[in-house]
Amino acid sequence: MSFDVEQAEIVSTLKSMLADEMDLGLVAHEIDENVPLLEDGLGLDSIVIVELIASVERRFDFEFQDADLRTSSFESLTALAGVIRRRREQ
Amino acid sequence: MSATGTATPGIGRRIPSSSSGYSLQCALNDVQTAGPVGAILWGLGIAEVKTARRLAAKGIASMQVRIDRALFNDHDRRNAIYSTDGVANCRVAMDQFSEQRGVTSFILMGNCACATFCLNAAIADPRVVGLILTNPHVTKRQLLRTSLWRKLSDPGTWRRFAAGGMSLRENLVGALALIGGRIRERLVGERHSAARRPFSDLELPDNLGEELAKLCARGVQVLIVCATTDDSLYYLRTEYGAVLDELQNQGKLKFEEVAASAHVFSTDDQASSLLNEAISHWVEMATFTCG
Repeated sequence: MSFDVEQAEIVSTLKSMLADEMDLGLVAHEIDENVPLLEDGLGLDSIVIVELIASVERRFDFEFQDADLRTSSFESLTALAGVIRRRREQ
Repeated sequence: MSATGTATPGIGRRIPSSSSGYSLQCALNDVQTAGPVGAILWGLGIAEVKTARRLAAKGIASMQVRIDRALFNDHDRRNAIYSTDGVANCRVAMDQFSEQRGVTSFILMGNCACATFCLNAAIADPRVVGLILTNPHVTKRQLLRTSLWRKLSDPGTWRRFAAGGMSLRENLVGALALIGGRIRERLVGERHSAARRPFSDLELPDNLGEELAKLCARGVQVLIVCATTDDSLYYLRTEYGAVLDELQNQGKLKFEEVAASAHVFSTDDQASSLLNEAISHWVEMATFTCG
């Protein structure tokens, strides 16, 4: 699978997770993968981030390393997808 | 669930606070081989997730807690709640965690205001066996007292004053208040009275050294971490440096200065990493005496 296709698939899955599992009132196809996840962008609460971390680990079957648990990893869905893709490659 | 512990379906759970009108939100981070000690971490940031996992690796389950979102984002109302309900909410969280996981002894961790009410909760509740305090909140009164007293104790201040290099008007009011307060403390023994309690959960006890010594004698393991630029470092070193050094030399307390300018560790990745290194090292060395 090419880099772009895999990245797009992960982003799409993340959008579905936010829309379907998080009770945030978001619609998957309306989520912009490049806006910040926190206040100024999607407006996710810190507890949603904690929930998202656990959900991502379950869905993609890996565990975030310490180095991944940085604010930059959760800057946007694109950034988060990049972290997930790198962890899956290892 | 992994061996090192991950967030569980307990995420997002709401529990009633100690007062009506708001709730606490919590996330449980479970551990397969959890012992009788659990950690209450005030904060739901990514940094606290990392801390929870560091603790999980040592067999300590954690509950991350925060007051609910509407209040959390309102600075004044949040601090009012911390001030009146901080200790009570620590007790609510401990009760809840105990009910959920059978944990009987607790490590409390908080930053700034949360650190200060965690300390006051530890003083008040014998279930607390460990404390991780980062940049504990120091009131303006306490800071003013410390900086003014330092100025007044410095001969250079008086030399500058005599040479006309300082404004009498600017310093007189604070100095008189300070001197008056010190005289009153000496006369009534208020400063060192064990019976005196802080007037709010958001205030470090004025007999902090004595209280820390008592906690250590009770077997409570204490880690205090301050960022280099934080007011708390200046205050603690100036007012309680000798006591902290003594307790540290006895191996009962760890007082660490982290080279960071962050007041809130959870929003600074580098500071958060340094903090978690300090926590890992402390947990490695600490022995928690369970009740």
